Amino acid sequence: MRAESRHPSRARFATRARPGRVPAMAAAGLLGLYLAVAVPKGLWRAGGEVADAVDDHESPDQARRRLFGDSYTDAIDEIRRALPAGEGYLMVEGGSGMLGGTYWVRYDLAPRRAVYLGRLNELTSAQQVRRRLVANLRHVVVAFGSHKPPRLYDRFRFLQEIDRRARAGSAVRGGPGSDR
Amino acid sequence: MTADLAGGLGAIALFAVPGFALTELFPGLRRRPLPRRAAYGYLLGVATVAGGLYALSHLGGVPLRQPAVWAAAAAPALAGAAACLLRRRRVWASARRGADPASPTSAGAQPPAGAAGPDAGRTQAVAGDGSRTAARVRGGRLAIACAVAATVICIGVFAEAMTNPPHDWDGRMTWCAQARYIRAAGTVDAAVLRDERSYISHPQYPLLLPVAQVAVLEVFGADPDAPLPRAIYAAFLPALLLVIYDGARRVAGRASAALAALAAAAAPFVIRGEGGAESTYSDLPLACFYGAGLVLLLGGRPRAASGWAAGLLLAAAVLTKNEGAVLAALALALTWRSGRAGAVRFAAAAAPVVLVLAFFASWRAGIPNRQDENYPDILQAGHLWPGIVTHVADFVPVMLDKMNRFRHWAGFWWMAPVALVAGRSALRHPLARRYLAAAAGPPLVAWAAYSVHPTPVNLAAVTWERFLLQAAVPLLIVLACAWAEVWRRLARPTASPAGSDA
Repeated sequence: MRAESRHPSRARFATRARPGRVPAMAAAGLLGLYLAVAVPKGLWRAGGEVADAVDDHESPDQARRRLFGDSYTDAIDEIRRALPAGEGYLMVEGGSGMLGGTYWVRYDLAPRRAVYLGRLNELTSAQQVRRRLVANLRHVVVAFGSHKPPRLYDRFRFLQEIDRRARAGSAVRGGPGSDR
Repeated sequence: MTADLAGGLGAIALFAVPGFALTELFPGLRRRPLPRRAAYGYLLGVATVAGGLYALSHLGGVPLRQPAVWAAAAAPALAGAAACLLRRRRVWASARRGADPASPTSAGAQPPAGAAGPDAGRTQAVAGDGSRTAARVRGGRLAIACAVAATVICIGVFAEAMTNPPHDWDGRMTWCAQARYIRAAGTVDAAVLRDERSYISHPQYPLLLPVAQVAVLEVFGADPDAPLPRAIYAAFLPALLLVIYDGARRVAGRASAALAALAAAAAPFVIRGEGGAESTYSDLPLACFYGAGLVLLLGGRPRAASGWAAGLLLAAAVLTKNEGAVLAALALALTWRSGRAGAVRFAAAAAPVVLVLAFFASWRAGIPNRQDENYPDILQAGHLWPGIVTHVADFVPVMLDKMNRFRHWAGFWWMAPVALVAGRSALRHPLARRYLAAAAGPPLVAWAAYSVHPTPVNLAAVTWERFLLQAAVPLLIVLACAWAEVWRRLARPTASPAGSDA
């Protein structure tokens, strides 16, 4: 390293034959094309973001409503009011696991501790749910897909609902707010 | 009322001010131009303030509350201020003694502004060469244009971050959720992490960035739903670009370095991809810490002070993401230089990394792992071979598909290979080779992970581009070398080789 030129691009210039200009022109052309496409797009977008930020009159709550929807935000706020920050809850995946529903609800309800109970369609009887209980928590939160409002149940009501639905041969699908 | 832009700037200053002061302790950083010094300062600030809080909380049981945050920020700031005062006092003392202005002491103590750094000698050496001067002026204008464009893009990222709360996948699944848990508990050893029954993703992931979030939220007493912590992540983008510029300028010159930084800023994935500057993932911070450590270790003469600074940055990489430990080890291995000075610098850089690895092992020992890939167990099961070969056909098409997405990369991966081929002669230099090897590190980590993972296609689909991002600094420095070679070839295609390096 001691005797090397600081510029690697120059280091072997004197000792090596130059390859043709075509690859160099192709490289320069592609770089120019890339910058010509990507930079204006980036600048345009940045300008829009700055304009949005300057015109922004939202509170954090309004920003959440804009991003996640009123029904989801209302449901989260209602559960936050019902569950003190130090209290845990049982988490049930009510939608497709691929949509990350439990992740978003868990984040929005943090620092309340979540204990995962399972997927709703796998919970077929109250007895089975009781076997799965690893913590004595009084509340159950069922999370659905992205932007769909989660639902809060008392554990007792949730178990009743599971049994009732099992008897009726259908999945739990309570009306919004009716089971809270 | 506008978005909380002032609050965001305050959040950045919480790390940037102590970090900038800390650069006073490292002559190699102190002598850099202000923007680049500020970039390293920001990275050092996150490393020391958040890292200090992490250590104080785990080892000393110090609550993660406002007094601790102020103390953690004040310590490096005061250390830097004290070092600055001492240095100036030495200069004043030598001046008062009536020392000859040309004496080595006074000349060495305060280099003239703008003359420090690797380009100073070159500037003087070529002062009389008219064509070189013209080229330098053109390069300077190009660099300024690139800097203006990159600055606008960075401001846009900051504005977006201050307008919206976190809404990305991993940020909410892991990093921001962890920040909320440890903020409420006031400790990095939160019960929710240690209780096996708690439903939590990647509980053993290192917490440097979540601790940084907590520091900001505590100091500003912010609403947990406020977008304030996102300012920390947005500020990593200019830091990344300046580190790329700093490393590339040394090996490829100003114009190519500026183009490399702008090429990074223009890549849509770097800005708004899952792991980019508009997310709350830890991949961009890891890219910064890893890249900055490399640049400090590969640039200039081996000195213990630069080793310490690089060691702090690599230690921060260890505490940023799991793969940070592997990348820190790779950086240390690639930057080894023989001789006493090289050994001293290596020891200075390795010491913080080793200490932090021990600390990290101690912290995670109390946390049962769940909802995470257990790579040590998978590796012990012996799946690496022949998976490293047989799984290739599964995940390579996914990787190529991701790199080909115009919406993510705007053609970056069509342009980069051609540049590397066209400027390949520049890549034969040992320094360029080391950067090339460093750029290969994150993709090789990814390759190994995909080879042992039970569902490599899914894993590659969601992580491959993030590994590419982690390699951004060395990769773009290598590209800058290649571009410099391309310009030289295009500018003087018929010049005799003997006169080319004048």
